[in-house]
Amino acid sequence: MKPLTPYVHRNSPIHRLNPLTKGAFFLCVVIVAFTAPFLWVVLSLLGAVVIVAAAAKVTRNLIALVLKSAFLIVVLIFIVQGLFYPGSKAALWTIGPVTVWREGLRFASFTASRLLAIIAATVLFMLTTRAEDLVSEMMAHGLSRKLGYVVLMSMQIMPQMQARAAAILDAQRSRGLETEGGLMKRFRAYVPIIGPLVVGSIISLETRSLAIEARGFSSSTRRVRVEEIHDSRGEQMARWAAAAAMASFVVWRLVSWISSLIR
Amino acid sequence: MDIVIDSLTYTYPGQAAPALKDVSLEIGAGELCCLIGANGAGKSTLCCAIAGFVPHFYKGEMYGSVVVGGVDTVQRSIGDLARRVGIVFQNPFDQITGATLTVFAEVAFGLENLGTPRDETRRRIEDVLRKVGLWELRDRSPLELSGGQQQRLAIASVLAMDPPIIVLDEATSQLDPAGTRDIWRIIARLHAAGKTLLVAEHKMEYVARHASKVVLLQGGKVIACGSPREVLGRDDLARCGVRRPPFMEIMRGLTQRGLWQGPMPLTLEDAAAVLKEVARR
Repeated sequence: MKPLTPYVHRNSPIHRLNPLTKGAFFLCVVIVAFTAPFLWVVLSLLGAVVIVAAAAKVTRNLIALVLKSAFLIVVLIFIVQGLFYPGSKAALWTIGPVTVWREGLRFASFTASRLLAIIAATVLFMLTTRAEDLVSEMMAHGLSRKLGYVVLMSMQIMPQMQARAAAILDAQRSRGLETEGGLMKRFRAYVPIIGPLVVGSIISLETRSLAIEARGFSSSTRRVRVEEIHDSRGEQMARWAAAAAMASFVVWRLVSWISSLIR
Repeated sequence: MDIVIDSLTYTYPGQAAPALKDVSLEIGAGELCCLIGANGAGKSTLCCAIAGFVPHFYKGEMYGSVVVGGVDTVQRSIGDLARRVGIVFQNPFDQITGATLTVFAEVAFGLENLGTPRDETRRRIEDVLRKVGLWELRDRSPLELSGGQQQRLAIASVLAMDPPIIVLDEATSQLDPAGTRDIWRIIARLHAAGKTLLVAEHKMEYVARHASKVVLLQGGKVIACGSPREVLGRDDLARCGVRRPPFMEIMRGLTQRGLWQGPMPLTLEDAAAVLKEVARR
C-alpha cells in the first residue's frame, strides 16, 4: 500500500519546524508566485525553495517529483504560448508554416516559472511535513476533531479502498465478468464492482465509528496529543509576520491592479 | 454485581421482531462470562447493549434496563461509558481508526481523546503493548499488521483506557488458530488480573476451558445461564445451534454407555486423562 503523501523522513532543521510555520511560508510562496509582477521575484522564490530543500536534504526528491508532475504542462505552455500568443509581433524563428514568437516565449517562461514555483513549494511542504502532524497542530489550534479525523482517515483509507476495489474486480472477473471491450461493456462492468465496494465500505464504516466512539471520540475533554510538536515563541512570531507581510502584499497588488484599471 | 440487565427487550429500527426478548442477566465483578448461540441469536446486540451502543448509537426501541458498574447506560453518553466498558469487535481491520500512522499512535488515540497527561499516556501504552506482545512493532503502520496482530492492537487500544469491564464480540471469529490462541491467552490473563469479561464466542473448546459462566442465547432469549459444565452439557445444545467440542461428545458417549460417571472434563487434556483411565479399566 502506497501512502498518499510523499513525506520523506530526514533529520533536518526544516523537518523539525512546526507544521504551521511551514504551512504559513508555503502559502506565502504560493501567493507571491501567483501575483508577483516581475520574473526575477518568481525565479528567486524558486531558488529559495531549492535552497530550503537542500537544507532539508530532499533536493533530489523535490526535483524528481516536480519534473514528474510539471514537465508535460510546462512543455505545453511553451508550445501553445510560443506559437499562438495573441498580438505577437516579433517572430523568433519561422519553420515552414510554424512561427515561434518572442512575446509568446516570454509569457510562457513567466507562466511556467510561476507554476514551477508553486508546485515546488507544494512538493517541498509535503516532503517535509507529515499530514498527521499538520492536522494535529490545526486541531490543537481550533480545527474541529471531527473534521480533522475525516481528513486523516480519508488519506489512509483511500489506498485501502483501491485495494478492496481491485480485489472485488478480480473476484468478479474470475466469475466471468467481462471487463474489457467497448465503452458500454466496460461501463456495465463497473456496476457489479461498485455495489459490493460501497456496501462493504458502509458496513466497515459502521464498525469503525463504533470503534472510535468506544475510544472516547465524542468526549468533550480537550485532546492531548502524546507526541509533542515543537513550537517556539520565535516560530509563532514568524508566522504572524508572514501573515502580515502577505496581507500587505495582497493589498498592494490589489491597489495597483485597481489603479491600473482606473487609468 | 458489575453488570445487571433487567428484562431487556430491544428492537432495531425498521425491524418487526425484537433482537433481544426479555433478557435478564447478572454478571459479577471479575467474572469471565461467555455468550454462546447461533448467528442471529442476539450475542452482538447484547454486547452492544452493555457498551451503550444499544440504544445510543443504533437508536431503536428499548425496554428494561442495563446497569453497568452501577450506572444506567441510558443515562450516560457513549463517551462516558467508554471509561467503564471497553469493546472489541469481530473485524480486526475495521477497528483501526485509520487516522494514525503507527501502532503506538493507534493505542494513544483513545487516551488522547480523554485528555490523559502525556507521561501517563506513554506509560500506559508501553504497558498494554507489552501485555499483548506488540511493543516491538510499535513503529509499524497499523494497516500493515496481520489480522491477529490487528486484533491484539484493538484489545490493547481498549485496555489502555483501563475500563473495569471488557466486552469481546466474536473477536476471534476471523482469526486463524494461532491468532485465536493469542487472543484467548490475553483473555485468560485479563481474567486472572480481575477484569470483568464478557466474551461472545463460537469456539467452544475455549469457552469450556476458560469461562466462569456461560450464557446460551437463542432467538434473542436467554435459554440457559450457568457453569460451562451445566450449559455445555445440555441436551438441547445442538438445537440452539451450538456444537460441543468433539472431546465432550466422546465423553457424553462414555457416560451414556455407563463407562464414566464422574464430572464432565472441560479441557482436552482432562478428557485424555479420563479416556486413559477408562481404557485401563
